[in-house]
Amino acid sequence: MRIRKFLVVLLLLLSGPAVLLLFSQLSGDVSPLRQVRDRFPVFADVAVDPESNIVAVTDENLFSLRTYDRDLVSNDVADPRTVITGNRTRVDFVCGVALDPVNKEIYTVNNDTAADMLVFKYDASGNVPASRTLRPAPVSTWGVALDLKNNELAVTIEQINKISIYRRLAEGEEKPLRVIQGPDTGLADPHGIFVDAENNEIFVANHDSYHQAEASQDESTDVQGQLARGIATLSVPQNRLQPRSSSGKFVEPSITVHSRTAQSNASPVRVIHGPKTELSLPMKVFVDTAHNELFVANSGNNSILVFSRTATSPEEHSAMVFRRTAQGNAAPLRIVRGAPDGTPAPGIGNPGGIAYDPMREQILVPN
Amino acid sequence: MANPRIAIFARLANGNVAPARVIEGPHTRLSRTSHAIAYDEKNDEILIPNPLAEAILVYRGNASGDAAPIRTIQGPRTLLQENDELALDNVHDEIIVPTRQAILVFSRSANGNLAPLRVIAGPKTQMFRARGIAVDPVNNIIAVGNANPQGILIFNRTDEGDVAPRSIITGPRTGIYATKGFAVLPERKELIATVEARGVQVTRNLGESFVGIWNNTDNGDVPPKATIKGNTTMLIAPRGAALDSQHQEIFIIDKVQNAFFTYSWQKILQNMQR
Repeated sequence: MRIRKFLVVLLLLLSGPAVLLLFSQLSGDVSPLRQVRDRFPVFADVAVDPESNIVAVTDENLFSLRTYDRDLVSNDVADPRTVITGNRTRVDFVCGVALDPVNKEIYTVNNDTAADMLVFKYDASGNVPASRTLRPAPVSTWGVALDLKNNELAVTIEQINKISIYRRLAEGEEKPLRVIQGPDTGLADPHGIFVDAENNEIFVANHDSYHQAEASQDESTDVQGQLARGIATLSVPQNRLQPRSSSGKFVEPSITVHSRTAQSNASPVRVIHGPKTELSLPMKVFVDTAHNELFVANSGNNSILVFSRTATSPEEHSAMVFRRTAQGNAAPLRIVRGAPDGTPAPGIGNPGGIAYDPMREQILVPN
Repeated sequence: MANPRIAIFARLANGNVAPARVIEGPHTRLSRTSHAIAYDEKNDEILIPNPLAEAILVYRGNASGDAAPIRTIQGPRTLLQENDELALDNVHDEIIVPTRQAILVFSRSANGNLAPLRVIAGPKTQMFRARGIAVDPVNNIIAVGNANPQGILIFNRTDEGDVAPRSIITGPRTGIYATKGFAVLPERKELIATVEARGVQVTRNLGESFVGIWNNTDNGDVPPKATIKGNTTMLIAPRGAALDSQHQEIFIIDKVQNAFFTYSWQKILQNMQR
């Protein structure tokens, strides 16, 4: 009798989870049959502080900001010094990263959802809030650069072809000191940015998609940002936007060089563009003022281009270190790996659409 | 990451896998922020928006690498702006593009600086921050997600000008905060919408957003007749949806997870409440 009671209790205990699972499946809480997903960090940008011996990288896939020892040599997955990740950090689709070697701070910008600039101390790690946050745009901030000589910082905003320059300690909703935006600026889907304080110039990497941003698009992206954060209290404007002539066009990828103090619709002082440059979806720019050279991470053909400073990589789990003087088909000196060598990268980043090709039995995913 | 590209995966891809092929490179004219894609089975073509250049790009179905588009809709007459989404009607040979407060309809074979065939826009449409679009060419409707009123606006496919939607799915029982993507089931007269819950892009909570299925005749404060919702689904911020009718599967892509998930369509059908 006692054994029978025990068996009944045991049966109930065992069947409970099964019933719960069945109920959850009936209520629409179904598990996926398959999932395509990268479980490793994927690096979007990199910055180095040789004095403090650290390399900082942004990871848009797992939403983390990581630092590694600069001279780490390992063919295995690299052990990070610090990993900043979690809801409290507000690290999201992080893209650009810059280091302040004087004040020992890491600057990074989110590209989407909450496209804020976040500042962390070098030793920050885990699910910790940023020391400072700044809101340069509702969406699509990509690059960040520091100008310690003039105590300023600059960010690029992709969707509205804009550079905003702030005081270095700006935070919250603070307004920029200067803005470079307009049809004469040559800005087109701007990404990486570098402020050369010695020569009073700003270098910007531009892709090839252009449209003339209008004030209404600022408002539009503001609503988009509020919706993404879940804080929108929407009211329909009385003067509804009507369809207007389109201004979109394709332009040559370029590096535009602006006066450091340029503002509004000022033309660049120089532009590097044209087929001889081999520019193709340029991402990061860096100026080596000691040797008067400009380095460009050229993601369209997986190369790093080096130009004279005054001249008119994409889906990887790793960051590579080359000699400053490297050229041609040169092997990197070191590789910082976020995943085991050879790990496939689905390369799905901030996806929005999906389609199915029944003829080839394939699934199409744009970034 | 998030480089401008189209990644193409095998139907049975699972786990941490590389795509079977990729369309990327300077000749593709792709940008980021392309929040929709359509495959045209009849003509074996791929259609995708480039909102940063205010263009619609069309590729051959087998395109790979640095392939140039075979057609591009772009120019002042197109009225394209903030055009990060599209839908394809390959019965009537039309491309439908939402631009936040308007719906533009182009000929499928349009190329260059051509005006839309039809424009739906104006105060009667109630369109505001339109997001996500689908066309049902059999039942002749266009569905578009809307921010205010929050819900789904349904128009007749051939509507033009400042017209009121024929129905609006909106209200607390719908569970809609923001619709993001759609798929249609013409034979069942149903509409599938991905619905993002408030604030999940920040909280990253599992199980709050969902995929809902409505009849395309629903109107008002109507709950979905079935959902894909809950922690088991892995969904946080679902975006696009696509159906494989032959294998009875549905694919949902998720922005926060940076992933796509495949679900059994049969399981969803077993769960129909109406």
